[in-house]
Amino acid sequence: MKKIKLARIVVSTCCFFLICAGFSGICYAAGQGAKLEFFPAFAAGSLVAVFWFLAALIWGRVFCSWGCPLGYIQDIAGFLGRKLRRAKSIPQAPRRLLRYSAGIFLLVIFAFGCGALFGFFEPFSVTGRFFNSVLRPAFQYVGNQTHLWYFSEITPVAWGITAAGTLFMLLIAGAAFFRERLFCNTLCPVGFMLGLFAKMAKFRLQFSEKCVKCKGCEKVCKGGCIDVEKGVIDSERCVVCGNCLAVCRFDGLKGKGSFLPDQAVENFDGKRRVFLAGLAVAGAAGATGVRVKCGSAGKTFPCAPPGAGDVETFNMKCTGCQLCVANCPGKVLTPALFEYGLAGMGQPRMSTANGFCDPECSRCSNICPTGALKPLTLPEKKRCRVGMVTYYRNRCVVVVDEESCGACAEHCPTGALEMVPYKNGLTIPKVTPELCVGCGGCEYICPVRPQQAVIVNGLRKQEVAADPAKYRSRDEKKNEKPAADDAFPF
Amino acid sequence: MFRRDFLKGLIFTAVTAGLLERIPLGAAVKKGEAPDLVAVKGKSPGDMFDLAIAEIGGMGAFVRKGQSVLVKPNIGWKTPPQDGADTNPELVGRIVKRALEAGASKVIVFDHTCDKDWVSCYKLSGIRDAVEKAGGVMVTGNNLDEYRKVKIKNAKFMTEALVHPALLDTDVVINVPVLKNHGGAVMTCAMKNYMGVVWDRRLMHKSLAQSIVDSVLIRKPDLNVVDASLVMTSGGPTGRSPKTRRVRMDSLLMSRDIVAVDTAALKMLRLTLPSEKDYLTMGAEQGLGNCDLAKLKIKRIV
Repeated sequence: MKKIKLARIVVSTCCFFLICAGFSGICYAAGQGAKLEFFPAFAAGSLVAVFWFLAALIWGRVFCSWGCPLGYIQDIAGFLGRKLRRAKSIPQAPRRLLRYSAGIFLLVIFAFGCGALFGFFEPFSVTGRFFNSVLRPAFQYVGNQTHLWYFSEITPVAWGITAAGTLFMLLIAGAAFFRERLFCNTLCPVGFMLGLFAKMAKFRLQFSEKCVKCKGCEKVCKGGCIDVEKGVIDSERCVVCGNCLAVCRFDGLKGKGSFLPDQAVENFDGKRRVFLAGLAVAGAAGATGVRVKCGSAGKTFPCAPPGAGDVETFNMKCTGCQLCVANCPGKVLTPALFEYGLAGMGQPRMSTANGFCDPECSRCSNICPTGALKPLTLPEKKRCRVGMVTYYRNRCVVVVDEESCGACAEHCPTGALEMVPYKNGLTIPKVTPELCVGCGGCEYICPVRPQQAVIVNGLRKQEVAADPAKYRSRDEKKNEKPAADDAFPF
Repeated sequence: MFRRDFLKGLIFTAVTAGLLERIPLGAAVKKGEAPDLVAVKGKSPGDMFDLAIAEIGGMGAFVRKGQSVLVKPNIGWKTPPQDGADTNPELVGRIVKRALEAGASKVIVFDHTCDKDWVSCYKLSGIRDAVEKAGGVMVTGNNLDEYRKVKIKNAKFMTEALVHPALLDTDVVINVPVLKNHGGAVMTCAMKNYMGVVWDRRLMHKSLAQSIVDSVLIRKPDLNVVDASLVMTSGGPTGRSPKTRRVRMDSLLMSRDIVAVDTAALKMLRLTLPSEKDYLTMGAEQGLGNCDLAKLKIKRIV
């Protein structure tokens, strides 16, 4: 039975490094692997989630040990803990009330539009935030110094989000160092969801008549869900890691064939049910309150990534995993702190501090694993208006210093900003709002500081900009003419 | 006696051979006779380069054996060659090839791209493939850590700048711009191509014309090759504007003089610079070259 553990190690390692590569910023294809993760797939309504549910119904919480990157990190921390502390696992209390409370509360606030806050506990997003704000800059730094791989500008990370991401990761890994899958069996909403199915799993592990009660399995159980004394294995908490099967020398464990939940585990009485229902209502009310009061506040509104559509819907659904930020070649996406309000912490926004939206790219919308960003084809994305430019003539170097510039028009991908004659042979920007897509190229390159002369403000509802091709008059359509004459004009 | 003569002869031959090695391959054209500016028309960019370089003294007049060479094209935008926003890849590849044939130890090609995704810029422009096929090395221009701060002598606005090390460390600099219209600077060609060796382009836009002159003052190129095969005559420089017009000129300009080559290029665009911001005149005044074409010896090959 050691093969199951070995297979789990191989599969989970592959999944983990696939996700790592997806967040490295140099492997866009690997980033698509995020769509195999349970919660993103669930939020996107993809069939992959059905697969994980079915797997839970058949074997138990397979995802938690085989596919979850945060589970993998906890396994590393737990492994180190077991070796360094020379300690063995002991049966853990079920903590069902805590798990149910956390799970119900978090899922309710997600359903009521606090995706970002939910994302602080969702394992894929927790991992993503850490990868994007800590590991990716480190990886790029090493690449820059050694020239062994793709080197690029390391964009400064959003410090608040980095701090939060690192803190969460340290807490979870720290807990795992001492108690292995403690997080998974208390606060993790995915563990809760899959556990509901796992407790009825057809082939969940049970003791067989051959068990000699040596407690070998108990000592290696990550979930602390095996209690040999009581003779129970709490399959709701079992993460199907296969450790117990690998150590058992007596064939004392087997996958039992039944779809009925165990009676041995505690049941909720009426009082607790009322408490949980109350918690759900409180979560719903709280989430709505947070969104109304703190969501999307502020005078100027940030540009959301193309594909967000109605930005409010986007804010509700995005869990802030930052996969799009990691894969943005224009270096324009950055995690928001409070720009979208409290309810949008960690969600991607466009910032022209380090870059601008690449006109030849539609990666963010196509890589988003939760479906918060709707996939756009490149032609669609080229016309997706995320913001609108405003030109402040009184700040422009052409007007103030009477210098030639044209940087904004140079970076404009649609011709929404173009240079028209001003005076003394100088040219000055002119805006055609119909063509503006809000990519921020102009704002990025504008030399005027601290406030640029061109500012792009985000739209709450993204629009379709006019087709630049239609702005060409008919006789100008063929725009490649042969030269007028053969001789040189000098 | 016979043996001594033989040895003397041997030494003489060796020395002569050694000297010949140092004499440029293009020795056929004597220095005084070489034109200041060569303009070629009607062939493929690579072939026009070969014609022009033969006129101006051969590649050996610029690249000696063992020297490192920087070829600086314009790869500012993530666009394919048919857009005419980046230098023609065939031309860049040919220059790399000829430099290596002339004995260059290493040919480096880079640009600090405007679009942030420099890998795609290199790839889509076709320049990466052309350079690597010819044996050159593409390095990034978008890594701030590599840039070095230098003081620029005689600069009037940008007195110091973060400059790409390839410009400072190589023995020979060959500037290979593509001729285009530019919304702000009217023309982007040889001098403005130097914006791609400086890190802070925002600062340069604070005083664009003077900054262009100042950037060339960092280090004058040894040779300028202007790609005027497909020229954006208006609505430049990216070709993404609906107002972009392109003209197929199938031409190439070459000169040691960066100001002269730009002056001729501007005439090809049939545009003029605003008199206050005439960076060609400013460049000439600061000793970068000659902006009076009448004083130059021009060779036209049609």
